[in-house]
Amino acid sequence: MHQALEKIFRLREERDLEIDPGMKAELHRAFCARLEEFIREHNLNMTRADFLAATREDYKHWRRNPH
Amino acid sequence: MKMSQTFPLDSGVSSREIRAATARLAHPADPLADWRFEFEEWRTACAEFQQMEESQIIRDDHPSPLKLRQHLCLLFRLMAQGEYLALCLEQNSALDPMELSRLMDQVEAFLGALRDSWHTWHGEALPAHRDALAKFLA
Repeated sequence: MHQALEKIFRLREERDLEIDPGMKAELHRAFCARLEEFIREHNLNMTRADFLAATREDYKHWRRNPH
Repeated sequence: MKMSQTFPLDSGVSSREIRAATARLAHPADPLADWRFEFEEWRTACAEFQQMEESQIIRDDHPSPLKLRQHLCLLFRLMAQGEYLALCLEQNSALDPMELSRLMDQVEAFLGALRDSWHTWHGEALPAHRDALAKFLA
């Protein structure tokens, strides 16, 4: 898997599992910025929602395996 | 074992109600005491939801339709409560703008995680989007 995708998945996992509100807000900003940058950088014709649905199985696999 | 077998006496007040009243009385000068209590309860529910998602959706090879429906139902309830908390903040004109912004960011972070969960597990995955991402997924 491309490093950029791994980075996005890792940021998302960190954001999702964080329970401290202040930390979660920071991680949410970082995740949103990274994902938007990835879509823009690679001229991908899709929304954030499209990306999340399209990578469902990859994210699931990534979460289930050591990383 | 059911609670009634351990504690046969019904006090008539739930622990949640007692905690809410205590929070209000402990911070009488805080106009957001009730809001903060509800936010804490919601945050706890969001954390438990993440645990449920991990064990019943992510760790399960093929989540059953029932598990997916339960996941969806909880998502909608949590999102609705989060939107309500955000609305209460917006409507509180007495709040310092900086504090409002800080709290709104926190609510939005939890809401964002819930929305992303909805798109991921219940959104429509189009082949064209997978094709566009193929070179990154190999």
